[in-house]
Amino acid sequence: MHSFELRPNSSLTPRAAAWFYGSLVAVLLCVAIGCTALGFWPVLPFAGLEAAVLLGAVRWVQRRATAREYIRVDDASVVIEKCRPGRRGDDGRMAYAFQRPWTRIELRRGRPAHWPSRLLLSSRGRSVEIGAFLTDGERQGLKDRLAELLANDDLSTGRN
Amino acid sequence: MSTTTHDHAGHNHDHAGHAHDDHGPGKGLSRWLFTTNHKDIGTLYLLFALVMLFVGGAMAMVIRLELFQPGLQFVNPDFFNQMTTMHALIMIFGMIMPAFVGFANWMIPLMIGAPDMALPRLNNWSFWILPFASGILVSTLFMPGGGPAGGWTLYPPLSLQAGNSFPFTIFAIHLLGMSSILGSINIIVTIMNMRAPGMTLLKMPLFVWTWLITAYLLIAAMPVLAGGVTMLLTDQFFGTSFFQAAGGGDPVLFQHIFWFFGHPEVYIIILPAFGIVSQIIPTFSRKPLFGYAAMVYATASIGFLSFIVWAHHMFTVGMPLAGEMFFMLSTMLIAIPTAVKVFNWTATMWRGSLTFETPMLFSLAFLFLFTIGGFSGLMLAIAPADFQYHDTYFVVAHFHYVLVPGALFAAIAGAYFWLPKWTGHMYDERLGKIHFWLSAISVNITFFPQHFLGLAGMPRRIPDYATQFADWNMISSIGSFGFGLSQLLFAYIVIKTIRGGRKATAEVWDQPEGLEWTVPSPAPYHTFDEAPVVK
Repeated sequence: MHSFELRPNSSLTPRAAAWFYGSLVAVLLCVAIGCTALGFWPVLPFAGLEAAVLLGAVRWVQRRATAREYIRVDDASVVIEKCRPGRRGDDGRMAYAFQRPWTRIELRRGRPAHWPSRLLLSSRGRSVEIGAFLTDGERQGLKDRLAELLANDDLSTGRN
Repeated sequence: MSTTTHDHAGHNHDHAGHAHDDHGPGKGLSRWLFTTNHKDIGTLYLLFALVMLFVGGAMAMVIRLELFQPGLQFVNPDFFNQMTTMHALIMIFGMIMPAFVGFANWMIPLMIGAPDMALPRLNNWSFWILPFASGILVSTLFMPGGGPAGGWTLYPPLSLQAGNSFPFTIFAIHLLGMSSILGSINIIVTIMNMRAPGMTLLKMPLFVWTWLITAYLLIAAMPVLAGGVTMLLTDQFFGTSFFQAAGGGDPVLFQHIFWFFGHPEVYIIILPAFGIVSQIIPTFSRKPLFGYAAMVYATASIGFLSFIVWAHHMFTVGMPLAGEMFFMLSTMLIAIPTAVKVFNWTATMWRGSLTFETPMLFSLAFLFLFTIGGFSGLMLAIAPADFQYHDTYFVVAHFHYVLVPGALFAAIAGAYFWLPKWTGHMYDERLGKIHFWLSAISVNITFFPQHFLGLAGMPRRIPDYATQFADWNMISSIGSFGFGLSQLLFAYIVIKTIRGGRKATAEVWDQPEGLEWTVPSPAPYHTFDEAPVVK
């Protein structure tokens, strides 16, 4: 059996993100509250709006960083498990199982061409996109590797 | 987003990833309208800044033409005041800030090993707000009553006497601020989250560090500007009295609000310039930057101090003596981290194998001439002396030395430095050097005599003056025409390089440091398809 774990690169740990956001907003709020105390309350809503946009941006990249995809390929099946915490259900886990002989992999170029490509695993009319957070080069590499595995009749022989 | 894939086969462990076809940009106008690629957006910012350099520069030419000799020759005083106001607003918000955001867009992902910015769609939006906001601002010149004429500082009650242009000016400033904020949020999140494995904070190139601190300053200072101009608007149209003495308000408080934003803004403009120069000087000295950590801490210190010096712009409003002392001393304190930077750049060159290509020439001019602006700043920091200099041409000379041979020269140096990486072509070195010498000479002819004018008592923002100021004004105007024409040569060199020229290698220069030099020239449309590992 072959298994793949896909995860996005993220140099910001949740702890560092909290420090980063907290330090920025602390400065921002000191300024805004100081202005408000002097009677210049219109500074406060702009500061609040900015803090909210920044929070949205940090949370978005943090959530994106926690995404995981697991792909298991064995003689009989291809199992894809996608974990996107906060997206669906309690833990955002979604699982798909395909019969390996009927599974095809396709890398669709972006439309327009400079948009990111899309990597799809399909079987009997169902398709699942994988590696949406990968770079184009990594998607191409993954596609080549999976295509090699899917074309191989006997995975247990270690001929791949 | 740079990503890791693991393939587990029994005990085997390999990384997926192979070479692939690099598909390039889209075609036509839609490429530029809808692009989310950091290189496209960086190019848009930089070209926009170049256009605005000539729009704001044309206004400077009007100003210097009118001041060529005493008396009123070409424009009426109100239009002259519109020109001084719009020149400043356009050069600050429409030219120099977008130029540095353009550099950040192009270079930060390349420098930290990221395939793109963290929030690409937001990036597109941040840019496209800019031409609309600038269009609104410029359009005020054609409105009844003309454009804003009360100075870029928008002090009430003068700014409230503007005609129809007033709300449009405020709206344009809001939009320009919004563009800056969104750009900063994107840059700061990119730096924090998108660094390649191994790229720790203290391994980041200094340009990235200066932008990280700049983004902090922008995020902290911009709501104050937004709040301040909104209060002007409500005073004018909604009957509030934040700054109207008749209703119990105080116009001087606007000055506090404005400069609380305005002084960090000065460093928002100059810190990325420090970053660019810190990349160029080591490259052409063939030595690592001297005192990297000290440079980072000096930048952070300057960022912090920028928030506690604002009232040195308004010593003459009648502050308590303790206030004047505090702001005088805190302003002088900034000289220490700035001197650390100047000494470290100088130490980097010490016993280096120096060569003097155009980016290095502009960086050296930056080093000398920015320091002149710094010294005149120290003179202005002395509160009792400032009472003499305040609102004279000495102040004009000071901030132009900081902003033109300071920030603008650094931006031009950066453009020459990275143009081969952007276009894949070497620029014409001979023309570059001609551009440098014309610019360096004419900028000094323009602004150095303004020190003498200010010390002799010539006030700023006047279209006419006493005959005693005639000679230095004429010399200053001649210098400014030369400087303006020299920048046409810069535009020609940029266009010529985009269109063709000798092919640039990946490294471009002699063994430069940094990830950006590991990718081919021109940098492929998609870079770092696999995250580089920084050791």
